Amino acid sequence: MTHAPTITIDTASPIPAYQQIVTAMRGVLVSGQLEPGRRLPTVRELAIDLGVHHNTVAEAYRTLAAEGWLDLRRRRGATVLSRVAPRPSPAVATEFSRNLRAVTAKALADGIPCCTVAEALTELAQELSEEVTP
Amino acid sequence: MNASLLAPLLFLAGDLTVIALLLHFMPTWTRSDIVFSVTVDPTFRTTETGRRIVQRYRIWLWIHTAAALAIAVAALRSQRPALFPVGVLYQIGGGFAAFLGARRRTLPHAVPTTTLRSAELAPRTDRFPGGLPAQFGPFALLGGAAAVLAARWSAIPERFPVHWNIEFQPDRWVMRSPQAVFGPLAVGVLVCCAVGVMAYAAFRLIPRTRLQPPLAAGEARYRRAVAIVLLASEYVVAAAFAWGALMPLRAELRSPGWVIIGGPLLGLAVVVLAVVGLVRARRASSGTSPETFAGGSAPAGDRTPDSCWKAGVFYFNPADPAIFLEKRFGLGYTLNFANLWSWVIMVAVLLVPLVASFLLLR
Repeated sequence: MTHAPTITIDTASPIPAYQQIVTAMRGVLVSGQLEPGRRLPTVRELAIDLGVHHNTVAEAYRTLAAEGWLDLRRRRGATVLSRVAPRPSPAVATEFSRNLRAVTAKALADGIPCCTVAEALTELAQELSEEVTP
Repeated sequence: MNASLLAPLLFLAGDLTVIALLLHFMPTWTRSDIVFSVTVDPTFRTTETGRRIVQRYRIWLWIHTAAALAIAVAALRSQRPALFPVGVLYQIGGGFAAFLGARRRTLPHAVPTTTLRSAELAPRTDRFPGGLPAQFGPFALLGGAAAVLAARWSAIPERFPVHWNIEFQPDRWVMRSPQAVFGPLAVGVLVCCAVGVMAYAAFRLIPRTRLQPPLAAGEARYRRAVAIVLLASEYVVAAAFAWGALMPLRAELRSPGWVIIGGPLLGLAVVVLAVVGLVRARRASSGTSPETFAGGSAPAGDRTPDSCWKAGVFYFNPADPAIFLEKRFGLGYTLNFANLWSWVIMVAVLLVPLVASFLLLR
């Protein structure tokens, strides 16, 4: 029996809970662990399990629906959609580059050796390429 | 000593002993990572300190039980059976004081509760035990009793007893009327509705705190066991109300001494069965032993902050949308008293049947 993927949030984190949910779910969706057509828990169920207000989960679902990951229908809950990645705009590419540099700089500033950061980035790139090309 | 008061005294002594036994074993029936409502290391209960705290709690519990029994005997000797409830109240208060003392001694050993919350990205698919057909049973019992009463209306005496005193003699009578005859059944329907709605809501809305396969299965099993106990209690309530409503048809039950004796015994048997079922469900796979936490894969605690458990038993957390939660000390579920819906449920479960009883059975 296969187990459903899980997401984890930190209720003490300064990052808003809805943002944590979006990030965690997007990670699961990008990795292909949730195939198109699969139903997700209702807003109330997910809110109770995560210990957050149901509006928080609803907001996260709406954000993912706007990105084209989910189909939200009243009374039927959320369903995963088959999504084709859009062509990234120059602004998106620039933002990605800036964020990556910021994360790398923070890691180096926190004392993580340069080679470990490079290894982690290489590993991640390899994982992603394996998931994208089955 | 009044011989007629001996039976009530024996019942009271039995009740006090059963309550004491339940409270005596309760620390070993709760999760191993929560001791006296405090989140601790799963091995704490087996340490010297942990054992001493539990032992001291039990000593105080039995001292209070003995005092409660003494109050009951004194009430009997002074021919004041109205004082019997004082004994019960004293034991509950004393047991709670013993719990609070043990909790105070456990608090210095608390470990930080995790702020991480996890959820499975799948809808809940587990079905309520017995499904909808099982929910029809209690109402069928009550409906059947109503049909018998309607069919044999002329066999119901013009005047029949509805209350008996402590010496098993009828002390309140009513005249035959639709309200007097069908009233108990209407109250039974309301009580069964309230318990049924609560059982279903708790089953569907309880947070899933354990996602690792063995612990998740244990939690699911416990959830199911609680639902079965609540469903069984619906049947017991329906049977009791149906039987009570049919009493006017049975002349030999006008002085139901055996009912007064058999009723509590049956109630006791139901309680024992329910406790055994719940304890087994928890023991089998829900983490009452430290071994279930081997590997340290699950964080200690039930993912609720210790500070939100007022006096260790009342959960009050406005930030948590959960309505029902697993009790930290005791079997079954409790409510999040910071949630408005919890109060709505409280009113539905307690107040509606009470008001209906007052209106229909006065």
